[in-house]
Amino acid sequence: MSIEDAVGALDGVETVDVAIADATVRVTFDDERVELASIKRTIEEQGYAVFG
Amino acid sequence: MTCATCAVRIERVLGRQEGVEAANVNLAGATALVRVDDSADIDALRTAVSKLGYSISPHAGDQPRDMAEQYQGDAMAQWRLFWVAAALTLPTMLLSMFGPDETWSRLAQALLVTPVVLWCGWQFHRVAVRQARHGSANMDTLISLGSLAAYLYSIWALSNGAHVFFETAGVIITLIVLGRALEARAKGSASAAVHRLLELGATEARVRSAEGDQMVPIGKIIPGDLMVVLPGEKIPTDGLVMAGASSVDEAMLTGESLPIDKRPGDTVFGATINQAGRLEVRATAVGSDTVLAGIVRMVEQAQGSKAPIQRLADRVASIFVPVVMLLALITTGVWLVLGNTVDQAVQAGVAVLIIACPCALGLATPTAIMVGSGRGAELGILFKRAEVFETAGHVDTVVFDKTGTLTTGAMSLTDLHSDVPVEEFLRLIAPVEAASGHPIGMAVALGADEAGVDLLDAERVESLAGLGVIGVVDGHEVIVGKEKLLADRGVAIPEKWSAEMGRLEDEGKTAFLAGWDGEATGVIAVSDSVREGAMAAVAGLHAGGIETIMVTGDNRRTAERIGARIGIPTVRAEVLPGEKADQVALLQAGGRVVGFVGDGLNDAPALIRSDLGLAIGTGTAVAVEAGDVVLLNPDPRLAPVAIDLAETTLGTIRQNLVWAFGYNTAAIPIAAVGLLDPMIAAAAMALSSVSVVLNALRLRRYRPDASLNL
Repeated sequence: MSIEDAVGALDGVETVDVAIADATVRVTFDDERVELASIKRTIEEQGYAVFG
Repeated sequence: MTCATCAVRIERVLGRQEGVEAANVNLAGATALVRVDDSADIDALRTAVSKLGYSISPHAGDQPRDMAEQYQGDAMAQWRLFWVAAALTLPTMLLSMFGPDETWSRLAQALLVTPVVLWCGWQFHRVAVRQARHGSANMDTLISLGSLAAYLYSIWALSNGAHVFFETAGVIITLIVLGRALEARAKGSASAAVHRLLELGATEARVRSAEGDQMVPIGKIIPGDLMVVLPGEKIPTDGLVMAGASSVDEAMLTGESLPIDKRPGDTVFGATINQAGRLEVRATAVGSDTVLAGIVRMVEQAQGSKAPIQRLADRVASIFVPVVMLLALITTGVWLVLGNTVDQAVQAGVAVLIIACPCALGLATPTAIMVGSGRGAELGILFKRAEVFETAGHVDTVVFDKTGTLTTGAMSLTDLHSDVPVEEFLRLIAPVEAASGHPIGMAVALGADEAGVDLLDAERVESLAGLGVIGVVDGHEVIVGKEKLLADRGVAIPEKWSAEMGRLEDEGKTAFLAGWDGEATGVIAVSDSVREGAMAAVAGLHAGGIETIMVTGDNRRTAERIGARIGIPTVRAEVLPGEKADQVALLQAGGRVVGFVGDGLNDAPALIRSDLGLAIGTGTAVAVEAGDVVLLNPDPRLAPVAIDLAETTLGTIRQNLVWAFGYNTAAIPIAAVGLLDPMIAAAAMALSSVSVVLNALRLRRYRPDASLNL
């Protein structure tokens, strides 16, 4: 699954923007419904390392 | 539980419990690893998790199988049986030989020997029945037949005054059990030795937490822990580099002598060795989940499924048993035809069965193997399984892995040509090379050390990947590298040095031009050094009629040069690590019996696949586990010695079988004409046993072939 699909599927995530060149992911989310740790974890479960 | 959010929640809840230092939840495996101190309460943890809506139960985890313990258990059981059997059989023998031939004596013998035949001998009777159901016979059948024939006949003889053979039955069982005990002990010690070699890996890791850095025992690391690995330390467990930069020596996994650069985002593996930089690594897999553990497991599984070669003794027995039974029937038949009573005819037939069973049979193989293995160990060769002795003699082709097996796997400075004296040349060149941090640089630095040249400081050192290195030493601008590097920097290259470079490369070496202040002053070359015994080893194998082949990932030119230097006619170059086993399979498909010598993780499949896997003991742990034979010194000459010793041992086993069967078979005619008495049976048993043991001891005098100069 792509990062966009996986993170986008989380409840509370509004937008997911993956910039391949920078190797960054920008996510806007409602922090009442989903927390940063979960988003990071989701990305990691796809097999990527998350820094910062 | 399928979502990341749930995992995070569970981790958080567990982390808040009393006594929990850290927690990690693995989504894929639906497992949670928790590091606790003594104050933690498992039930409280369970309750906390179930409050979230999940059930959780403790899991025992994989305990590493310890084959050594199992073999030792088997050995002890056999020894117990032996002592019991011996304790009961001895008085039986005494009564039979020196006691009066009266009813009480015979009854006493019967009572003493019954447990021996029925209890100690039970392991043989059970297998004999199983074999019979398949219509086949093996050593157990022969033992069972002989001992039961003697025993049951003797019971019958109690009533009519014929000879009793209770002691015969007892001695048969006792000696065979002794053989089993010796075999089990040999298996146990070989297995234990190999397992000791497997004690790799770090024992503790530096874990960074909010409270600072702490040393944590390796068993307590869980995924998610941030480990700090200093230069020279072993990577504690599989993980992801989060910060820092270094290179890691992964030779134990890949056999590659060059370290791999690691940056944030790269994966590193447990038990590999960190080089000069500092790394912060987040653990991703621990214990039996690591790459190394997985491969060891795979190797053990593959080993377990290797079809065991039917032992020589069993093969002989499978033919002998029907022959003997036939002879017994013929004897009975002839007696009947000659007009004797049924009683007498049966007596003669049974006598044939009794004498035919060779009690030294159980000692024939184990004694030779024990002495052979012991001699091997003295020479630095560990035979892991008895079957090895029987296979080794059939090997007609040996495949050698190159790096680490035929060569040392380490670069060394092999050539140096320059306009100026060696010391002056190295004085300026070596510091720059040494500062490059590259193994080639280390080789040059070592070479300088050996030449007695002290290393000055080098400044502004720049290492240019694949091309060379530049720097400043003692005010001079020094450059070492390929032609392209010098050309790019406007350094003139005299024709003689270009020619020299070409010559060295044709020899399969890695060559560089070197010079300073705008001039090329000379040429150096490094090469993977061939091990001292490689040539003799190959010659030794050829002398024994065994073909040799070398496989390597190196390019064709280098490989062929090195092959020619060592004397190996056939070279398979540019072989990918995963393809070595395929090479072995290819040869086997052509009908060859193939031996493989290797030391790296990528050699493990080939070691397993081959008919005889010879692992270099100083190589990777997994190769050692995969091999059938372990060469404790990285000396290639041990390969032909291992094969020769195994063949000699097999020869001794065959001789032993002759001795074991010989006396008893010679006595069959005596039994057939009805002249058998316990004394004759005892004599046959004693003579055969002694002969077998003495013959096996001759192996102690085995010497490797003189031409090997070992």
